Amino acid sequence: MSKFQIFTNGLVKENPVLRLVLGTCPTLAVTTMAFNGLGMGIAATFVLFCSNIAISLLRNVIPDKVRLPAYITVIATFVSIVQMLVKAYVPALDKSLGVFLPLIVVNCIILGRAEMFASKNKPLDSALDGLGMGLGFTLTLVLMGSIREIMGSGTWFGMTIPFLADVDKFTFMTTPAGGFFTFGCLMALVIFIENKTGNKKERSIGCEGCPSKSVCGAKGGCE
Amino acid sequence: MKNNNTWENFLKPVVVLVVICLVASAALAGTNQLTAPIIAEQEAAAANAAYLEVLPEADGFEEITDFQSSNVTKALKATNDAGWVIQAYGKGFGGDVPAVVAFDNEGTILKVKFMENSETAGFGQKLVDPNDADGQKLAESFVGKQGNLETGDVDMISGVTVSSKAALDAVNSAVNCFNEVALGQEATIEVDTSAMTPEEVRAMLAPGATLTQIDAQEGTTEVWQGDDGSYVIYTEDMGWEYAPSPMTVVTGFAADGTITGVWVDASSQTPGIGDQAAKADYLDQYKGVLGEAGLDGVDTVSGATQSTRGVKKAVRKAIQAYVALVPDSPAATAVAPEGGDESEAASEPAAVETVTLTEEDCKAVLPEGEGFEVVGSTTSGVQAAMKAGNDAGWVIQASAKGFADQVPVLVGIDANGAIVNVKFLQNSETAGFGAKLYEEGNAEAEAFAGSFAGKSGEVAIGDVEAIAGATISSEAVVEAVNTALSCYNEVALGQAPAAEEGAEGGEGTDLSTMSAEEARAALAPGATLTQIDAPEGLTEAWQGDDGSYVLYAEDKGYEYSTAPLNVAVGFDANGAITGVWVDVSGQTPGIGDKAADAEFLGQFTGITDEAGLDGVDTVASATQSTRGVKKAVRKCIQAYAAGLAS
Repeated sequence: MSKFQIFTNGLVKENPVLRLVLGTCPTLAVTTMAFNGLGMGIAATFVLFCSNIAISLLRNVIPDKVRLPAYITVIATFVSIVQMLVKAYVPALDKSLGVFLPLIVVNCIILGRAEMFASKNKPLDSALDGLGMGLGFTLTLVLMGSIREIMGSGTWFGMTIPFLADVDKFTFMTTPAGGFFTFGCLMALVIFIENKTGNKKERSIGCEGCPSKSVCGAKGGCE
Repeated sequence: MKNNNTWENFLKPVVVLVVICLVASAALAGTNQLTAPIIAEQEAAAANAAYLEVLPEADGFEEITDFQSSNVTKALKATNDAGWVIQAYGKGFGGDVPAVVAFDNEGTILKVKFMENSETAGFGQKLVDPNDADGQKLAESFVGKQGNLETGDVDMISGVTVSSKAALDAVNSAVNCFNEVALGQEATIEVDTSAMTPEEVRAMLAPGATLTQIDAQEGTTEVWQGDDGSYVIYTEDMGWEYAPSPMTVVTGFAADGTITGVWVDASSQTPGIGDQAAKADYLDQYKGVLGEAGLDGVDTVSGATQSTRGVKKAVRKAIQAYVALVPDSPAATAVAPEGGDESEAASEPAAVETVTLTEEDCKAVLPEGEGFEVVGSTTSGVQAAMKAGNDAGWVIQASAKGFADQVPVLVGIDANGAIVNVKFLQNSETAGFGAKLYEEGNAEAEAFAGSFAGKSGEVAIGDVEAIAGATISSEAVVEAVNTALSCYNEVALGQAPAAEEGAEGGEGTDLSTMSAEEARAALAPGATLTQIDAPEGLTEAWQGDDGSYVLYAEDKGYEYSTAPLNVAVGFDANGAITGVWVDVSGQTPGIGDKAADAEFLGQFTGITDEAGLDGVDTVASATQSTRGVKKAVRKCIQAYAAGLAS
């Protein structure tokens, strides 16, 4: 794959949320507002970028046995750094993201890409992959956040939409149930497009789709 | 050369991990160095923003650190003398409830803002939500007030009692601090009584006295005597029935026998529930109590009933021990405060006036009837009874006590005892409520009247369409109709007339609907009762030939009642209470007459002494009336114990 292809891979073709079905927890939780989705996406992208580079650099050094502890330590360090920076410079975002900021550590996307790509590729490629995946994640989050915010609160990025000002809001959308609903609809749309373009990707839930499958021995440990 | 396997399998992984962790720690430490000051600054700015929000006239604050008032986090004086801002907190449901209070220089509250707390969403969180009307209302109700405030002074949020109280405590703590730092008054330091040593507890309960331990009395665990005549007595009670160990209760007595205070170790009770029994709010009730009778006024805490009742029992034991130690103390002979006025006679239920019914009146409810003749009836509550000459049936006018006065009802009954028609006559019930009954063309009244048709025997309120919101008047109507039906039983079927007297009781309250003789007979079954001289404190006393007694006492009950409660208590030969009869006609109808409910009165059966009264709960919302009954029963028990017990 060319460098450019590596980058764009994460945007659509292998979009982590809609195609790889990774990182759904924060997707559902923080997309009540588009701004939150954007903030989470950028934070996750930063972590993804840094951790991919770091892990790629260390791929020949880290023994197979301690792969996971090493990855998690690296990822957690970057997340903590991001958290401190956000707390200091963008405290409003810290308040909105709340506990989901530190939870980026266990965001499947990051661990998944570390396992699937960074541990097997050169640093530059890993960096691009990280960027692309992160961007894809961010775009999806912003898309979902926008849908939920517009329908649920009548605003977009905090700005009230003029012609919706007097319309009754569909506040269901800002609830967790609304999140699942939106996610399901988006997924259905994507699959529809896939079928039309013949690009159907095999999605699986449970152990099959988990990046840690090889590690935990697919013993159904996730349930 | 090193074994490759060892390096690969054991050492390398460890080394690699250690190095990674070291590097990670360094990176984190570095970032922290960079960001920590910025974060601290922001938090300070946010707090400052809150202070400026409550006192916008200030141009800056200087912090006062030298204060002792409890529960205060910060005391700030505006540098331009615009006023003061104090941040304090109260103990809420989930933790601290912080409040920032702005005062002007005289101590008047200018503004109150509640800061982030961990209270329950939808409840205590209302305090913090700027869009929540209730929270805002509470915060605004503090403005303009001065000094320590009570729950009645502000708009507490209904249904959010604990958090609202915590908010109030927070503001009061701020007020105390203001008094200390701005007005130079003495600091109000909340003593954490739960952390006190035994010596400190005793010193608190008997201030200024030197205490020496003396032999413990029966029923107590420890007794200390002060050189000024004061006492500190330790007693125990299990409190909650499943508690692992008993609560220790320490009661302090002043030289005059009044209780100085009570300290409780409630650590064996359920945390968060039973430890209410150790709280100042509850224990303050005991201060000043004199003698066992004084305990009547002490309420248990709902939701922590067993634990608080346990404290009450333990305090009672302490009082009894005290009285044994100091027999001539006023505590021994103290009577219950606010006792009923003995000289007032109990009021008789209003006599029902008889009326004469015309043919026309009768036909209104029994159209087929002709040639009505008067018949005599001794059923109480009946105003007139007429029999149709053509045997079509009977017409009876009866009445029962409604809200204001008697509610008369004209009932037409056919030859088989079924109601034909019911007519509501003029009454003095409240306009818009019971007055609807006799309103021409009132749909509800018509539906109500119509719902009686065809019924016989006895009618329950659920069988008919009572007027919504006019419960008392509707119930009076049902009672009047039932009176008419009883009268029918008497005059048509020749059954014994039902004598109804006394307060309207709940289902199964046989005693309260009986006449005085029947009530006595029920309280002392099988005995022949002769009236004897009433001992002090009682209005009447009857002695049974089998050693039983029926004693009458009074209590005002509801403070604005028109007449005192008349209470009759039956004692069997062993001194156990057989039952209690109450005339509640002077209490608030529909409310105070709960004091005559079988459920409430049933609690008294079987009690053998004053201590047994501890287990009797008053009825919430009829507190004064039910408490009055309790006081009257206590008088009977005391009189029985004093002179009549053999």
